[in-house]
Amino acid sequence: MKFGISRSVGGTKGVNYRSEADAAAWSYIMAEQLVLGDVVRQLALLMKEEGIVLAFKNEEPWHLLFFRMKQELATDGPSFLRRLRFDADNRYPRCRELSEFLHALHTTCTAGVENPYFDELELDQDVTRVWREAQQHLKPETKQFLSQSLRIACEEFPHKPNA
Amino acid sequence: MLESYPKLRFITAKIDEDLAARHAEFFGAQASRPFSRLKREKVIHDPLWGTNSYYWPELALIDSPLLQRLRFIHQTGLAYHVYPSARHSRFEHSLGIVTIASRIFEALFERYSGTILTIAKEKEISHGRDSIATAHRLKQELRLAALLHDTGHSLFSHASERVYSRIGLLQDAAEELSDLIGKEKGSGEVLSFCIAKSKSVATLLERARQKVRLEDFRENEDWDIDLDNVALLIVGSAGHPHLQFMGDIISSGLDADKLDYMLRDASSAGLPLRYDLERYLYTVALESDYMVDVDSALTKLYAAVGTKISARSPVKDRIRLPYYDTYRLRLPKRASSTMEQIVICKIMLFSYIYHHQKVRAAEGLLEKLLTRITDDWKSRSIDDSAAVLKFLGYDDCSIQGEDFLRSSDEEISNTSYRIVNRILPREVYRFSPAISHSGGELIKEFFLMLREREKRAGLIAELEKALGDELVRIDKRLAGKTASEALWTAGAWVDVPKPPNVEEVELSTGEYPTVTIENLFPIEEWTEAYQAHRYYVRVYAYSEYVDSAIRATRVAVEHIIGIRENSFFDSCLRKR
Repeated sequence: MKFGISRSVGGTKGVNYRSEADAAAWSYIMAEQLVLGDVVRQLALLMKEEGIVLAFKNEEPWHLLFFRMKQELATDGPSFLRRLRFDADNRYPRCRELSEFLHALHTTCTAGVENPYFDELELDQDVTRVWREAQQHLKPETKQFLSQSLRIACEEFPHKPNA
Repeated sequence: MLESYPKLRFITAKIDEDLAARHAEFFGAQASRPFSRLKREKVIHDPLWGTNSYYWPELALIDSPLLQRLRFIHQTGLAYHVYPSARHSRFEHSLGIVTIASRIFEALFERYSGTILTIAKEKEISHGRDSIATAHRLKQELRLAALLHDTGHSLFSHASERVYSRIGLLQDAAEELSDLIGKEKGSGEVLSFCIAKSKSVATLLERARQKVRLEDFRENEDWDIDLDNVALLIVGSAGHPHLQFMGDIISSGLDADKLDYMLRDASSAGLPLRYDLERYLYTVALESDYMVDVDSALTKLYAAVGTKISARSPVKDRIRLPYYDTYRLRLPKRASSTMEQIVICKIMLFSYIYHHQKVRAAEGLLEKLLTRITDDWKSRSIDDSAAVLKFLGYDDCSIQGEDFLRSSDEEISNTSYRIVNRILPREVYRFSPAISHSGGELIKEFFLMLREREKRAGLIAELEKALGDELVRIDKRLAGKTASEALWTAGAWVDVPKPPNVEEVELSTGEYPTVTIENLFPIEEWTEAYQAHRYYVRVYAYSEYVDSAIRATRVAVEHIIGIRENSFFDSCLRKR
């Protein structure tokens, strides 16, 4: 089963985009298979809608979420989950690749953090517009996988007090 | 230890064969060195750390080709093309890290002697010796790990290390190493680990031992070095969970490696960057902690090295997985200003040296050259193990030799000539995620994708292909070439440096939870500011192709990223 998006744009890379929205979805078009960054992007959107706090300084919930996703969803899920590596020298299973990506969200100005505590990621509106564009083209099995992942996220992350 | 790890075993055996053939006097069947009687210790002077003693096992290694090769590998690669005095070598750095690692151990022993002696008393660690002798042996293992930690480097340090990941055997071995120690390791660390595990090192040390006078072995000392533990320390692990703090001293966010290279690189380049080592040593702490045993990796590791210890059961609502009690290297909260200095120092080094546009130009060109050479080896059916051994035989002088400057391949020879004579490509464009333009999300997403392991290489390849295609189309000198040939001829590429990584460092508060540095000062703001304003993705080209590269880059970026605004390209163009 292939996870990702169902849309194809002429089957070529470096296409001439028909609109800005097309260009905006280019990052997803390049990956035929759903990879870690795609899942973090889409989950972040869904988690925000669920009133989940997107923890930043304390990465533990993110690592536990993906660790559980690997344990519970890897068999029938996207292949990247099976090769995710979690280090064994911490107080919780910690995936360096995930950590790098979470920090990249911040350092590429894709997401902000609430200063001075850095507790929570705040998603950039323009960027999330790009992500939402891609969301519309997700395959049904990808949507199902994301909804299963969201269920685990609800158990691992704190919720906003009045959500 | 390596029974279940065939690639690591294979590389270690190949290194032994190669060393025996290349340096028979040291590592051959009839090896005779060290030839003369060895002194118990010798003094070596260092411009940073002053006068320091090195003991006979270290002296035997220092006087062998394993360490001597490092004299001819510049610590900061080709940075001397920009900072003429940055000529210091991996050799000096290796000696320096021995001193710093030793001082950290001594500082810990001064304040935590009870804990360290209790650890040293444990049956699985003491090997039947008393705790003082065992503590001596542990310190000696730490010093040897420090000394050997860079022996796997090749010419111009990290520039060649980046090409290691193109060698399948090293990639597979890195996977095995990660499996063995239960944490992710790259290809660059495999070779130093294998060298420490080699028979060559073990037999050299055994021969050296015979050359030390009996009266130089003191009571309360144990010289029965455990080279398995030395190899594990090099990669930030240890043969027993209670010795993990020693792995932290060699490889972690607070390690001796960083403490040495930061000051050495800054001093040699002439940059006024400092941090307070004395305060670090005054405050550095040993803290009891635990490590979860993800996928039983630690249980397998300890079994592999013969340590008989079992994981503890999970604790409801607190520790979800089986775990091992351990001791970690920490700095207390009151030492946060020291960490602050270290972080600032590291960021500044990236800004001034490692990411300097001319340093990147030189190292990028070298990387392209090494990639071409390794591709050429593949086409000539030179297998991966031979490639690994070639790299282990190189030092910076090799650039003048028959595989490079005197190569029969004119392209390789010409590019080597450029590197030797500093005829470097020029910066054509520099892009940053902070450059504002309408549709700013496109450049941010581009930078984010470059940080995704699974998309990064593909994205760079797409952009370079588009750049090469356009160069062929617009520059008559490149007519008829393929995109990759055009890129090579024009010396054009997209340079994506590795951003500075400030490892997660936990500061001790004396109780759980410990706090990470980010809690105490705005490290995230600094790294974000650095990456927004001083971290660039650049396009380079040789001077004679700059005009074509300016036009071609614009077309490629429009095509691949979708940005078309004139003002964006104007602000990214390097004006001269």
